[in-house]
Amino acid sequence: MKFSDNPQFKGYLAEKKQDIYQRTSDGVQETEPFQRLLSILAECRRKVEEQDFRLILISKEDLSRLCFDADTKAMNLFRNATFLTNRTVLVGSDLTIQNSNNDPFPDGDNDARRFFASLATNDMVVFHVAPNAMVHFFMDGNDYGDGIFYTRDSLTRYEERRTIEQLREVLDEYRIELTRQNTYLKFFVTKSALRAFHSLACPEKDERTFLENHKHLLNNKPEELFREDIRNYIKNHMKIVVTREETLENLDRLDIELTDEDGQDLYFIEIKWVGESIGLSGDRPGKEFKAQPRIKPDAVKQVVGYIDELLKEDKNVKIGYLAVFDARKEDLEDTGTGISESDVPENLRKHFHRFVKLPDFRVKNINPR
Amino acid sequence: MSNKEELMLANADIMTIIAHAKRIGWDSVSTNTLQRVVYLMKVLYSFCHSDENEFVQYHFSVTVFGPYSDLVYKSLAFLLSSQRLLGDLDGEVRLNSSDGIDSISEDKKKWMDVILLILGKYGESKVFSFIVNDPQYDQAVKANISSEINTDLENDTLKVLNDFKKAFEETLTDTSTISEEEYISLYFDYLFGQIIEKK
Repeated sequence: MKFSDNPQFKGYLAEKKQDIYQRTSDGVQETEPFQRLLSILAECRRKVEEQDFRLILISKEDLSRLCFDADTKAMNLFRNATFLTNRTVLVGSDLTIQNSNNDPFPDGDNDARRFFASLATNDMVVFHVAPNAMVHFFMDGNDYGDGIFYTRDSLTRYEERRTIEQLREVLDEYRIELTRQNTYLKFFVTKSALRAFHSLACPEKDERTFLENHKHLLNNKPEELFREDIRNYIKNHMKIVVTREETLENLDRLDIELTDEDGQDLYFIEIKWVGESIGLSGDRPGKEFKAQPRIKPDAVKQVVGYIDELLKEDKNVKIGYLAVFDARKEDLEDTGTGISESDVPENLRKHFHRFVKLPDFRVKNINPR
Repeated sequence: MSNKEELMLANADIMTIIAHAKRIGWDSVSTNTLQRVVYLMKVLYSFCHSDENEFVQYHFSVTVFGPYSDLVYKSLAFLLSSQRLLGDLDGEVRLNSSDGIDSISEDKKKWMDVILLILGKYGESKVFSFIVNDPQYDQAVKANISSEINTDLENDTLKVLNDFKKAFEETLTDTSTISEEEYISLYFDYLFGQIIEKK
């Protein structure tokens, strides 16, 4: 099994032993009022946005007697003028302010954390509320910024990732990534494999010219390499859920399916490539795909067909993207040039507005290795 | 149990869940979240209880947006049409009446609070990620089954949770302070770590 047979996981548990005991038996963290207040503070921050960090102090005793309607009282607190004009407030069990001050917090993460922890003594619990609704707490002089299995830093990095609305920005950055040798090399046949290809196919020809003329050759089945590369880039840079290939009822598969973090809307990306790949045996070119008819009209029809099918299956598809990796030998115009509604059958044209052809993802083997 | 009786019970469940969700600051809840929350309440139930699953009447199938139960849908439709809830079936719903709230067993209420408090720590927007990472749901998606998701005692989620607990028991000298609910909470902490690190 995943955990009990996993020495690494058990080693991690042993390391975190103290944190686990504190979390499950310190008389505060495991209680209902504490967990409720933690959730309420984050929700209030989401509803009442502001750019300042806030410190909310409450005694353990008051916390244990947290009022029943704390959700309403907390909203009142977040809109209270004293709260808005003071960085630090001390509240009672009904979340009314008992004391406040506007002293600045120390500069620097570590100094600030030490300061917050120093306030969390004498049975006081300190909640630190960030503008992005992350809530950390300090208690018994300790900093509880991290979960047992995640750190505050990784949570901050995650919250800073882009949302589905920013997909195109992320893909523009990915285009830049594709110009880096470490990224593009994986798509192309290596120099040594090209030399082998040369000696098998046409040893009489000049090797250097052969290598130059064939450096654009893609590895066999490049679609899988492209799909995984772009999928990983999206996963690592966006706050969305990238699920596995979705199988439609007719057994076609969507290459990449994306849903926003809430899981409300569906987007998908169909991946195609144009250029030339090497054959499976490595001694002759394999497939060559050109912009027409591969992209226009075939891929356009395919994507709009998928949109139609998803909508028929009551799936809330917003947009179907067509992403084309352009590995053609020459620098040619975008494969989407001239795509129009007339490329799809009449019965599917009603969905054409949900189709987006992304600008080509150019991959060039500038410095082969 | 007749369809009408099932619907009446579901109405009480849904009203109670929405009322208790408000207590953790969720003033309104999306209908998708409600489907997901009821699913988690059902699939995790037997980890903490030895009696019959209190959510036995809910039958879930796989959709792109998570588990779906027709009973939850029908109950929401009924509660909206009778104005006990405000909102719409494809969006957010919120309370407009106290009818039916807490008219369920104490144990069931407590269990609802356990799950809501765990989810509340991460926020409503993360519930979908937990669903996608749920072993039983994942298994159902992989198998591409359109029939009911297995939520009985042999379900994959319970197997994984039991193994998670076993790792704690075999590593820590004393686990007597860790309740079953805490194990679920720690497991979600683990899942959340996996989600944000995109492991």
